[in-house]
Amino acid sequence: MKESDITSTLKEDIPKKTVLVLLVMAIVIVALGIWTILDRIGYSQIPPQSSSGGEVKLKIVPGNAVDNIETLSNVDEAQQTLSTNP
Amino acid sequence: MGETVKGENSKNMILKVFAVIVILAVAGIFINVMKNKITGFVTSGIVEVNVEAISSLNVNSDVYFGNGTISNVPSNLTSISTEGDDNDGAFNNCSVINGGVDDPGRDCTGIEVENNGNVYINVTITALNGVSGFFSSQSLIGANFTFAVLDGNRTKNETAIQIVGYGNDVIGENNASCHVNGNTNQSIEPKGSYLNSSWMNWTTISTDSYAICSNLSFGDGNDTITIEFNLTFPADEPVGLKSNSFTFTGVQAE
Repeated sequence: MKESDITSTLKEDIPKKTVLVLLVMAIVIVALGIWTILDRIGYSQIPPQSSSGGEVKLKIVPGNAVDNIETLSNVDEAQQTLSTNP
Repeated sequence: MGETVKGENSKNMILKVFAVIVILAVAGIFINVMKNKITGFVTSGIVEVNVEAISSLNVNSDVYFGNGTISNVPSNLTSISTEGDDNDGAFNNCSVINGGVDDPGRDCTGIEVENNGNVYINVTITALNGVSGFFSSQSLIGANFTFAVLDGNRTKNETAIQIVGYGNDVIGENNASCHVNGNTNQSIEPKGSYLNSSWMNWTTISTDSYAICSNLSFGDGNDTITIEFNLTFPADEPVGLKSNSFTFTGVQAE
């Protein structure tokens, strides 16, 4: 039997519905296969992680901390002077 | 005629076999994919449960030093610390939780990071601004913004290490939050800080990612670390609100 005869025989013998069903199933297999591969790659490449933020905040107000300390010292000295002098 | 019937039979047989293979392949792929989505199913009276790993961390507190003045004398710069109970320039006392847990506006006891997932996690810290980005000073002379990491919570009553005050090697890692990672042999970084400022391994903050705990435990207890901060202001730092954000990322430890 020649090749052209075999081809023509196959074309005639396989119903169109069967070819259509097989084609649909092939497409489904390819889609699921791609989905599976992408799913696996996703699992392996992106480890589950979690992020959260914290903050450090303050406000610098006018004045000099050293001056304030000195002022407080002066107040203490004044209070001591007052307490020692009746 | 006989050949034609024989050929059709074989073709039909091939088609049937092919169809069976296709159906099995579809079913196999479907089951394979769905296997990871199913958390429990029954087979022959045995309940199989697949618990998914959840890497999750939570930041329980911010640091607010409050309002204060700074020194403009280069030889006597103002420093404040989350470990300090007598910070310069009227900034908050950070040795106690000011106003309680629900009052973060006056609290500066450190940033507490908790593992609220169900796997050990590797925690990293990343600063939004480095030292030069945080301070507005022109000279930056003496400017410093450092951090250190302590095991346990910020109220210092969670782990045995906090209560007794020694390192992992003395207490044993089962009583610590940050365990030693068997693969990297790392736990807390920078290591060696002790409680209550007896010694703190202050390290300059960075905008690069820095691993602070390689194996943070999970569960109701022993699942937190606290990040402490220490700042020194340059004498020419202008007044105003200063803020820096830190991002903590937890990834399942390997």
